[in-house]
Amino acid sequence: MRSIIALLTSTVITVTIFAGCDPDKRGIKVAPKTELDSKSETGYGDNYYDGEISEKSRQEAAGRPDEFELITVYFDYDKFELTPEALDIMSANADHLWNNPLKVILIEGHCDERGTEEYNLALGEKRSRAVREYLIKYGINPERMSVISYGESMPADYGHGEKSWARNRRAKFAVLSK
Amino acid sequence: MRPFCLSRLNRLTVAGYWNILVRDMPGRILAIPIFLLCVCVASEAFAQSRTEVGGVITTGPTAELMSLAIEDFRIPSGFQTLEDTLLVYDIQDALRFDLDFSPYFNIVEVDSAFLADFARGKMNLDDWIYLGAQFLVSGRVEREGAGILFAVDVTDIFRNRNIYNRDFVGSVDRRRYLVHQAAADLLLHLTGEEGCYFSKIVYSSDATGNREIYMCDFDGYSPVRITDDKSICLLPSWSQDVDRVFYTSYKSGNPDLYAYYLSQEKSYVVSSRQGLNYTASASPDGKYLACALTIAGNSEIYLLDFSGRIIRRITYTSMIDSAPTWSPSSREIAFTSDRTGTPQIYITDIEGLNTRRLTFQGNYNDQASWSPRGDLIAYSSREPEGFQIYTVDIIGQSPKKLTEIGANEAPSWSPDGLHIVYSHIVNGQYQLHIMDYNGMNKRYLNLPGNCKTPEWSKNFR
Repeated sequence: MRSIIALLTSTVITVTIFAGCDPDKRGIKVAPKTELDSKSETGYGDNYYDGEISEKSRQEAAGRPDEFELITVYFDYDKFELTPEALDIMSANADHLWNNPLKVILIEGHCDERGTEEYNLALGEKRSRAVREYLIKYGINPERMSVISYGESMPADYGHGEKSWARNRRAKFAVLSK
Repeated sequence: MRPFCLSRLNRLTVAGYWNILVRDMPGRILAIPIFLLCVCVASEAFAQSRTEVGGVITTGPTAELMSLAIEDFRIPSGFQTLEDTLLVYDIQDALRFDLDFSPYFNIVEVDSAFLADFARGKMNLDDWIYLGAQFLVSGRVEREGAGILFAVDVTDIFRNRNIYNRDFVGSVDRRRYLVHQAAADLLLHLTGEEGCYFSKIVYSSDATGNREIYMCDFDGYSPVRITDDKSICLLPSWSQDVDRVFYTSYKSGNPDLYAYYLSQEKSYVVSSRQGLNYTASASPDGKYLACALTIAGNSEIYLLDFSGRIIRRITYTSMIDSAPTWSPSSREIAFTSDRTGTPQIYITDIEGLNTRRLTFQGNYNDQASWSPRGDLIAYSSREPEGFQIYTVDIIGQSPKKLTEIGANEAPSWSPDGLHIVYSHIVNGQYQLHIMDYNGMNKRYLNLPGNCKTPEWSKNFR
């Protein structure tokens, strides 16, 4: 069982790494490309929260469930509480998981590089657990969700500025089985 | 500060009892024994406040500092080739590095005028005195069968007397080890201290593209990669018998704790509980492994045995508790907790009782390392431009900043308590540096990749 999970995890990690290389194939497909470009200028990720996205993605989730990718949630510095924006995103993610009851997910907690390695591991775990708690309260079966913390070891953005850090403080979803 | 306060307290008590004696004459008979008892208790408290460290040992040199001059080694007549000559210079440089590494020794620089005299063969012992040297170290390298013989000779310049003369034999390939032997022996002879010439440093590096665990000598030579997980390996630490390196690896999909056996060149799982199994630290008496686990829902510190069985849970908070480090007595643990809202260093005993906060300066303190001499704790403290390394004594007084340039984190003490290894960060690049216990003599270790979270071993042998 363990080796299966390991295999799945590594597959998912590989897939996400490769997906990361091509921003077009990644993220929710609601925002037109130009909008994504303008977002990346602000330094935020391809599926970073935008006020409109959650409404659109809700519709998207209902329409094409397989295409929908759970939206990454971002956190404030040294915080693991969900921000109001993150709560909006989480409600879309929860809807999707509710409508797709067979989906099993892994929630990855990440941090920016500023803290210590030790503390960031614990903080990343707190972030992923905060997301899991939200989904449990929503009514999603806890057994469908596992958590892992990568601390600062797997940044989405290798830069060293405030923008890069904002992109790295996140809880990301990996789908283990559909 | 403290003795002053206590002596004042004593004086007040004396005055108070004097009043009682004078005013309340009938109570005099009772008052005298109480007065004596009080004096006894006060002096007891005073004595305790001085011996809180648990001994008289303090971090820093325990013998006098010495000024050494190193005489240029002569090339023996049998050494003809360039290779031979380089071998001699190589050994001389290594000896100079080793002696200079010890805070006990100040290596006297030789100036050019002196060298001119030296070249004309006019040098005598008095010339070394003008340079401020107390001892003259000279060396001789000779062929001895397939290997080499390295003879070290030390002269006390003022007394004009040879005080040390020993030969060391070894192979050409392991000449650095040969020099370490000579330096360690000389240090022991002159100061009675073991030094750290046979210690190693473990650290994690991304030199291969993946973060793996590495091990190198105290001087940064002969780095060896000990994991090949092609995953993420983090936070290595030593067992007390220096046969095992504990580390966290993601190779099976969860951050599990492993032990790498140097003798078997093989890793075994120690703890693979769901969630984080990290920041392992072996107790100096070799009984326990303190380690942070997240099985309770957030990071808490546990005592494990070396097979990974939980003996006891140490911390009970809903906040992050991690990164334990042992006192030399194996009775107490310093660790990081954000129970008051920001990460700070705390000390608790191994029962989890008598927990007290150690750091009050700064709003992000982590990565504590307890000096093997017992009196200081080094840690990383976050400042606006990045982490810097501080030491503080074990009652939390007089924090001292040891680093200034760039960002510096993850301190770890050498086995003799006279050096600290740490990560120096410039432009996001992590490099290992070593400094003396007081922040002097910073030097870098030339190692590939971003090197993080070093941990210094005890001496091998």
